[in-house]
Amino acid sequence: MMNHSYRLFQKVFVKAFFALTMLFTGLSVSAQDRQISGKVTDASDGSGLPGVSVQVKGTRKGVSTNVDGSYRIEAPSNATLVFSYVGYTSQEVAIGNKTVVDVTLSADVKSLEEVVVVGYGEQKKRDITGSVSALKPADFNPGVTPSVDQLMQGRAAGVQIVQNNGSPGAKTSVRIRGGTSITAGNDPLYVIDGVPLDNSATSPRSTNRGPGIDAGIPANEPTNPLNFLNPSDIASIDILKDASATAIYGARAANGVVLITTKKGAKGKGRVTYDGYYGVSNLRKRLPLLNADEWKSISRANGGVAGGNANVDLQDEIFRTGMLQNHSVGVSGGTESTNYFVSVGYTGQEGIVKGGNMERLSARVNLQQRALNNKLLIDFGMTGSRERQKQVPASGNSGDFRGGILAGMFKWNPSIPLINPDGSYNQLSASNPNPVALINLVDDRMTIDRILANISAEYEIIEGLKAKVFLAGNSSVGTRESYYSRDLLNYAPFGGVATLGKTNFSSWQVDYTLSYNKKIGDNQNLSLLGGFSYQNFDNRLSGTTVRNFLNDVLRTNKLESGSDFTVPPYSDRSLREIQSFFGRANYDIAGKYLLTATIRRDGASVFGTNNKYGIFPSFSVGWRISDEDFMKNQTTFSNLKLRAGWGQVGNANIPPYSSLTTVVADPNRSAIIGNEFKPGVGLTRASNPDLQWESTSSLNIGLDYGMFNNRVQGSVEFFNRITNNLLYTIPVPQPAPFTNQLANVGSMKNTGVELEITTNNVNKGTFTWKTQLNFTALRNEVTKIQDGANFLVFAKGVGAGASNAPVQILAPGYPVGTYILTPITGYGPEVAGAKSPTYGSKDAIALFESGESVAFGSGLPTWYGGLNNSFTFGNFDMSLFLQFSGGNKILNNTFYEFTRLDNITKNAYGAVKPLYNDPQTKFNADFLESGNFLRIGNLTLGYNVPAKALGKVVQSARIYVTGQNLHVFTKYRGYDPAINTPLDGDNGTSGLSLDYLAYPLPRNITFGVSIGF
Amino acid sequence: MKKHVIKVSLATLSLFVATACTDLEEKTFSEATADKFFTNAASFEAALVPAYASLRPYVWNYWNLSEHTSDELQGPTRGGDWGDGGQWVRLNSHELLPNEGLINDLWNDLFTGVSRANNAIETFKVAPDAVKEKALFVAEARAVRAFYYYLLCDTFGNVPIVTVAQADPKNPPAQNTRAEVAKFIEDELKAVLPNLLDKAPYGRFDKGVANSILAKLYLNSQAWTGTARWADAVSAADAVINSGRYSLATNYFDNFKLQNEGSPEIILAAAFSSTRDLGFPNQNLYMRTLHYNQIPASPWNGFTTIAEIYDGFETGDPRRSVMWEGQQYLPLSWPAAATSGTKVKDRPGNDLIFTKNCPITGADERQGIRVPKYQPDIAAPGGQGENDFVIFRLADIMLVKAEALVRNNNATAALPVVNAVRSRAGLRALTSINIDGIYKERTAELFWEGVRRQDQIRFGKFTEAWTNKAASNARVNLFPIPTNQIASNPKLKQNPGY
Repeated sequence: MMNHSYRLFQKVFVKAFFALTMLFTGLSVSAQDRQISGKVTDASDGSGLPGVSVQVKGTRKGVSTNVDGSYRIEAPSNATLVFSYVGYTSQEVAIGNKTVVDVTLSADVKSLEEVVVVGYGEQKKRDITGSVSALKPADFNPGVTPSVDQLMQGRAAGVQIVQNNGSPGAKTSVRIRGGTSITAGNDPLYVIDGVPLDNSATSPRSTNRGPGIDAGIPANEPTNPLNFLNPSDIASIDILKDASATAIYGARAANGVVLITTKKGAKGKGRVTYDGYYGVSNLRKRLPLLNADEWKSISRANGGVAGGNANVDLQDEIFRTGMLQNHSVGVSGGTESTNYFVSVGYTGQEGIVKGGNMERLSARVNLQQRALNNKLLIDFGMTGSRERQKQVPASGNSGDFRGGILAGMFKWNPSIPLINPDGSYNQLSASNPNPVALINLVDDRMTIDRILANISAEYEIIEGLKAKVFLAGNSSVGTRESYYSRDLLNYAPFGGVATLGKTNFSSWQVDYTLSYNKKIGDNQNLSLLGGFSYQNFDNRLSGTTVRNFLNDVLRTNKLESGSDFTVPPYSDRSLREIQSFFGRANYDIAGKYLLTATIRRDGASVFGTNNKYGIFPSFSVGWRISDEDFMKNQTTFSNLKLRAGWGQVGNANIPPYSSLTTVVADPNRSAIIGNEFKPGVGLTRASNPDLQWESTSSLNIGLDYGMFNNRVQGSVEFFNRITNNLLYTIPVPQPAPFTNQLANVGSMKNTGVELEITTNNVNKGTFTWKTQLNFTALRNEVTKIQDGANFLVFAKGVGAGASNAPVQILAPGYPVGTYILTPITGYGPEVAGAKSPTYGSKDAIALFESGESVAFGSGLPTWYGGLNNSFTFGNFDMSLFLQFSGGNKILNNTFYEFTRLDNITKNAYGAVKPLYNDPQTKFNADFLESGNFLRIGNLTLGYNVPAKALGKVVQSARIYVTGQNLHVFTKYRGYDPAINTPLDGDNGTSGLSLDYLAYPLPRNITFGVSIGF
Repeated sequence: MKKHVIKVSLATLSLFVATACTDLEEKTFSEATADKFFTNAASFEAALVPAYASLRPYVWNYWNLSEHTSDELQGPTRGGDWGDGGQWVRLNSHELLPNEGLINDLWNDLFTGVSRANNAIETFKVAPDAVKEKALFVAEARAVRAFYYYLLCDTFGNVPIVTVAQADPKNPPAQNTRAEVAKFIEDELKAVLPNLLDKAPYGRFDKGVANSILAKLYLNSQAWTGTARWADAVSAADAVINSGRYSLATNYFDNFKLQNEGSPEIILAAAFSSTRDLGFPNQNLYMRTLHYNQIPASPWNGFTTIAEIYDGFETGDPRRSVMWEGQQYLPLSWPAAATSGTKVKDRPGNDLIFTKNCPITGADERQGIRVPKYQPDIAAPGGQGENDFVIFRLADIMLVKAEALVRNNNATAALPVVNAVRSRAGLRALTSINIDGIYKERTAELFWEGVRRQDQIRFGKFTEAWTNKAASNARVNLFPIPTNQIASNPKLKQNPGY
């Protein structure tokens, strides 16, 4: 039955595809040639190899072998057949006058010869001694991946990627082996084709400020700095995880380094590829909001008011099915001396909250030219992109009891209509915003134009000695045009507010490197690298806000058509410079005993004058046990390598001017004297000439293994990372120009294990099944904070009445993001079915200070990973990707605020079930939920159109359907357990695993095609 | 040959490296180092302004801490609103914690003012003679610094006296006693008085301001240092009163209306503007008390007074009209609440009727008498009032004089002074006055102006019980030294009793 439906499906599929491709290519007509048959067997055991591609060289003609390894193909007598199979060495056989061609394929030992980008060079994977995860396009997440980081989500051990929210283009949090920092950022260093990026967002900041201008609409989400890259242009992502691998990037490497390499052309005839999909995006889960009848009965029974006569389904009013599309065309090819890769791409994504969207148009050119007898290699690459976003004030903060669309949705009494009979928005009050009015009356658009270009020239002076000059420039120009309509209740007093913000970020870089490779004696290899690098980041931003327009027509397009110019314009400029000297030595004996040492001396303008330069060394060793003689007689292990490494790296993410005492004139320092505005000039901060990088030293021990002819392979790693000199703003003795100062205080520790396993479970017949698992377990502990403090506030809860309510702290002996909540001592009688907690006399902080332990857990996940199963059935393929994470607790701050019974009775607000009754409004463990989840991250079903069905023009074609975020197994009551809403703690901390009005992650279904010409 | 090639390439490379090398000294663009910034007289003159800008935070932290700990104001929780980690309730019940954020903020506000004044003094020391008024500016900066020390003496008492803009973190300043701080304030003010203007432009420190600080310092001297200085208080107050530069405003409420800068009574005010961005805090006193639905800016429905303050007024005292009880109407009127028009509703839809009784936790939207002592700025969007915040006004200094006279056993001389204040309010003249009468008059004249805590301490009433507050330990007469400050300056010892 199964077989039958499979066939039927295949037939329908093939027919449908034929109809489609015929439109483009027309049917091919094959000439009648000689019939060749034969069998392909596995060299190791003589069994038939199914699914081997058998192709007539130089043509598109090809077949696959059957279950038993046999095949049949028509070919002209002068033809050569090419037999290829993943993981095996390809073979070419000239058929001559044969009619039967049997072939034996052996497992490809060269798959271990895969090269990995390691920073200022490449290394054979088999020689790597540090901890590196290498991802190729086959490992990338399929489906909707608008930014490059999403390609690797869940795909590499030790790398955790959390989409902070589901808004299109929103920033993700990428954590490699947990966070090393508290305030200086935990995102890795991204290096694109040799150009390290500045992680700061390139989007113009929310300029919604000025006298009385904060009318409750939240600031917009930060955007992802990687948005400008088209994921289709990516050839590989290499993730350097431990300090022995990352130390070559010195003071910026503490959070790991992600090396992104774009596609290059290869020798041969030009190839054209098209990748594209269409899809839909919608809300995966609905929350149980009270409906009008429920609302009214609860309100009546508890002394509230009657409400209206409508019955509004608020989630229907806010959410929608968004359209998704992506198109990418690449052209590549080359000759002996030149190769090229050119691509253009377009991505469009509509958010699931009405109104928001993101678009990107990008182009990439990579050119390589060899000259002077192949001694000179010129390499040029450039990306240009335009990213446009329309953001809606969906999530966002504000315990300022007004809030954005989601707050408006939760608060809205479902018995009150959103639209008045005359068609206008029903805007109840400033603190009860109409979410639909917010969607339609806030217009916030952003455009970011970015160019990243690099050119290098490498010359081989003598054999093995190469000198290279590398130049790169990076420019990003952002414009943000926002307009808050005069029809919005909160903006009516201003007569509409238009803000035009600009950013201009530019950077340039020059690297000089000298590398030398030498074979010593019979079996020793030495390679040396030395270099110098300079990079600067020149960041400028400015903005102007004008209020009081006659109507909503001209807005930012004609600022002077407004009439209120009282909001001062602003501008800002800073320049950061980094100067570095670095070197690396690799030495091996017979490829068996491996040694790597690196050193980097990094200086940065943002460091204090007493600490301008830091030195970052690393050492690592490897031992290929499987190459030893005593391993010759066993067949279990095809590969076994033990690695150990130590290194020291830094985090130099220090805001400009932090170490200096300067003067500035600004409104805060100005005063009205004699009824006249007088600008004031004063000191900015206490100087800190000792300010320096955060320093992380890390130890890594790893074992790479391959068993049963590499049918089972992977690695196990243990790591221990200690970070000292954590950057934190600490109070300075008063008097001082400012209350706090950025200083190096505090330490923390991350310990963990990582596991990667790939198994080829089934490799027979038309059926293959491969499993990949990665798993990480992690333990974090804060070991030291500033002197004299028992704890520091890491995050404060938000919501009405919640100002200054700490919910997470940093304290020695506890992991970062440890919860501190008021213990519930019991429950009083339920009110309207709502739990009513009771508390002791002391609040959480008082209990902690009197020595009680904090036993609520932390917001930091302690384990996470991904499991991918991929199958092929003949031309069909399927993959199922599961992502899991847990060990953390989530503070459901959304439910804390919007399940309150008194919201209904006292404020006539809407609410989410189940209701909760706590007039004392304490953050307690009833709002702390398990963060464990298992997500069906990806399910893809694909069909590779057989070569014989393709015309002369089309070389390969694949169609597929992908579902993303199909289901989440979790007990978490909110929209999604994998979120993080930054909620400010003290001095720039923002908490972990906090959910406050997070934009839900969408579920995406896409239908896509990949065609090669 | 090989060696030659290597040499050449290395030489070329080092040349590249050398040309690219930078000393990594941070270049400044949107900020400047002082030596580069102060290039002309105008920039030097701007160096005094930040010290004045530090007057504005008075309206937030100093005001909140002085009022919430006193009997005339409370911040009840209303459902979820105003829970704020329990801080308002703690202040109300005199649970003063060393790690209370508001208390730490107050310390920082005041010392930032000290730092800014010190920086001005240091800057003027190096100013060229082209800065013609530099001697005056130094005198003013010292007077401003004395003012912040007066507030520090009032709140924390035992604080370090520092005359540099930035204390050395490696050798933080030693703590001085409250008596030493009081002495420093007195010495400084006396030293600069001759150099100050008789009457400076509105908002600047002059002789009137300096004498007002001295009058208050002397009046509180017994409470703060144990040494009574009643006669000094009288003479300092007289220096203000008899200067002929101030007079009581005809209408009491002229001191609190939107354009209150014209009031002849104001000696010192922190100037605010509804149209100029001056950073936080704003003049939002009316926002803290009125109900959400009373003005378009959606006030925060917060602070109220308590029944015994409301009931303690003399019958017919027009100053009480700004305490709003009962049904509220729109359009709003001020100072007395509108008594007709559209009834204001609360958010659930009930008539908005402010009631006299109000619990400190779990109040509903309507409970508690509201006190928009400063005129609500209905036109100012977002709660940023135009009214200036009055720090010293003549009526206060007159009552200082009267109190000092009464305490110095000269009630007869005090009586006409008190009656002058009462007469402006439209009340009958008293025939006698005693210390209780002074207390009552100060309550009725100066409620919600940020002086109540200091007054209650001086009158020995701060630790008594009142509505929603039990009797408290005498340690609360000083705030605790904040935990953060002790952490950064281990030389600071905690105040007694904490």
